Amino acid sequence: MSAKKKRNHNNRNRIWLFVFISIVAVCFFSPLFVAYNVTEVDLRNVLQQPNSQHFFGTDSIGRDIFSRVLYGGIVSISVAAVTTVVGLTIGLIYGGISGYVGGKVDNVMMRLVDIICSIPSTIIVLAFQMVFPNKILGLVIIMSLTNWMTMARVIRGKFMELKKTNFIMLAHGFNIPKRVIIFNHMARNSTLSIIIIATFTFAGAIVTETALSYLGVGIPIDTPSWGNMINNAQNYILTGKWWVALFPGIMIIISSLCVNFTGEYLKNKYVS
Amino acid sequence: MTKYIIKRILQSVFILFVMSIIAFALINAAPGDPAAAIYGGQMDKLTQAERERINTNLGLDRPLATRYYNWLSEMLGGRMGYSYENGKSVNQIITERMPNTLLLFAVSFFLTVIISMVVGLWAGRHPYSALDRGITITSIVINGIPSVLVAIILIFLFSVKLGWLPSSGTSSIFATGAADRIKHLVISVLTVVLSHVSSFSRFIQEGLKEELSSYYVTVARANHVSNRDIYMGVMKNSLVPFINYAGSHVPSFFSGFVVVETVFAYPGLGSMIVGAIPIKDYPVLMGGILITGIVVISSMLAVDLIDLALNPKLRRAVER
Repeated sequence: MSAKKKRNHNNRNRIWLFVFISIVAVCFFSPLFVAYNVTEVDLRNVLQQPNSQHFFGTDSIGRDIFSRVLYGGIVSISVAAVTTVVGLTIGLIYGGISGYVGGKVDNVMMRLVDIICSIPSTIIVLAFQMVFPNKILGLVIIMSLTNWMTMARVIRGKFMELKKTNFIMLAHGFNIPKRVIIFNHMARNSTLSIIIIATFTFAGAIVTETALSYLGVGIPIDTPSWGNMINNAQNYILTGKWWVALFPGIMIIISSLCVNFTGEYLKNKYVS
Repeated sequence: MTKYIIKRILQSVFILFVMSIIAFALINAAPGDPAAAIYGGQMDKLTQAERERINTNLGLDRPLATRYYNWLSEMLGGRMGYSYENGKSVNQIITERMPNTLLLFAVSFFLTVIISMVVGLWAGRHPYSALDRGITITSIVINGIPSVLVAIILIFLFSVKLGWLPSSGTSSIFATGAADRIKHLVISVLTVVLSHVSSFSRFIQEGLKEELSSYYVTVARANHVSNRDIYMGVMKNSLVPFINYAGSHVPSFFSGFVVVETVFAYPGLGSMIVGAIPIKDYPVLMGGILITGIVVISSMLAVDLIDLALNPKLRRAVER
C-alpha cells in the first residue's frame, strides 16, 4: 500500500473516533442550549412531525424528541462507560489472578467462566433485574456482572504469554515484589489489549442497554435514554409515526458503530 | 472417549444445578409480594392476617433452603407448579410455548449455519474481493446494531412499506395451514439470522484465510497439488473449529429470542419470561429459566458431541 493511500485509510478511521467524540460532547453540553425540558409534557403538541420548533418532532405525550435524544445520550453513554470500567476491572482482576497463578486455580476459574457464558446473558440479567428493579444503579451492577468474561479470558491469555517472557522471568529472579510485577510489568504490557476489549465492551453495553430498556427492565421509564425512547417503537412504526423511533435509533447505531470501528481499527493496526 | 462423554454430561448437569440455585436465590431475594400477582389492584384491601394466610398457603414463610429443596423435588418429578397470575399449570404454559421457541431456534440456527458456510467459504476463497471486504464490514456494522432495531427496521420494510408480511403473532385469525405459519415466522427468523450470520461467516472466512496461508498449503502448492484439491482439504480443516464456534453461540441465540419474541409478540419462552417479571410470577419465571437452561445446555452438549465425532484433533486429545 502506498504511503498516501495508507494515510487516507488512517484518516478515514479517525473520523469514527471524531464523530463519537462530537456526539459525546454535544450530548454532555446539551443542557446549555436545548429549549425544552426533557420531562415536560405538552398535550397540545402530541406526536408532531419534525418542524422548526421541534427539530425531531414530539412523542406521544408531547415531549420534545430533540432534547430527549441529547439528554438520553448522557444517560446511555454514562451507563455504558461505567459498566465498561467496572466490568473491565473485574475481568482484569479475575483474568489476572487466573493467568498469573495458573495450574489448578486457573483451571477451576476458567471452567467457572465457561459455565457463566453458557447461561443466556439476557436471562441472567432479567433474573437479576428483579432484585434491583428499575434503578439505574441496579442496571449498572447487573451489566457489569455480565460483561467481564471476555476481558477475563483475554487478560488470562495475555498474562500466560507474558509469564513466559524473559523479562518477567528475570524480574522474578531479581526478587521484584509480585505486586510490582503484576501491575507494573504485566498489566501495563497488556494496555493495548485492554483498550481494544474496552471499545468492544463499550459498544456491547450500548446495545445491551437498548435491549433491556426496550423490554422495560432497563433504565427507569421516567429517565430518558436511547433505549427507553425506542420502547414500543414498533407500534409507532406501524402507525406511521416514524420520527419517534428514528432519531434515537440512529443515535444508537451511529455511536455503537463509531466505537466498534475504532476498536476494529486499533486491533488491525496493532495486533495482527 | 466414554469417560470424556460422561464427564461432559456430568458437567452439563452441574451447570444446570448451579443455574437453578442462582435463579432461585435471586428471584427469592427480590422485593415484591406475590399477593400482588394474585389480587392485583385489590391488594391494598387485604388485611395483614389475610396476607399472611396467602403466604402460608404458597409456602413462602418456610426457609429458603426448604423451599428450594421442595421446589427441586417437585421439578424432578416434572411438576412445575401453578402460575400466580392465572392459576394455569406451568407445565401447560410451557408445553404451549416451547414448540414455538424450538421451531424459531431450529430454523434460525440451521439457516445461519448454512448461509454463513456458503458465504464464508466463498469469501475466504476470494480474498480482497468485494464480498470478502463486504462481510468484514457488514459483520462489524450488524454487531453494532441492537437486534431490537434490526427487528424494527425489518418491520418497517416488510410490513409497513411493502406490506408483504405480518408484524406479530404466529398465525392470522381465519387463516390456517403451513403457509400462514411460515409467513409469520419470516421476519423473526430473518432478524435472528441477520444478527448472527455475518459474524459466523467472518469466522469461517478468517479461518479459511489462515489455513490457506499455512505451511502445508505452500508445500502442497509447490508439489503441484491442484487448486481444487487444496481447497477441498482446507475447507474441511477450517470448518472443524466452526462447529465449536457455532455451539458456543447457542446461548446468544436464546438471549436474542427474549428480545425478538417480545418485539414480534411471538408466544415463546422468551416473551413468557419477560411477561412474568413485572408481576413477580415466580413459578413461571423459574420454570421458564430452567427449561431454557435445559434446552441451551443440551444443545451445547449435542454440538460438543458432534464436534467430537467430526474433529480428529479433539478426539486424539481426549483419548490421551
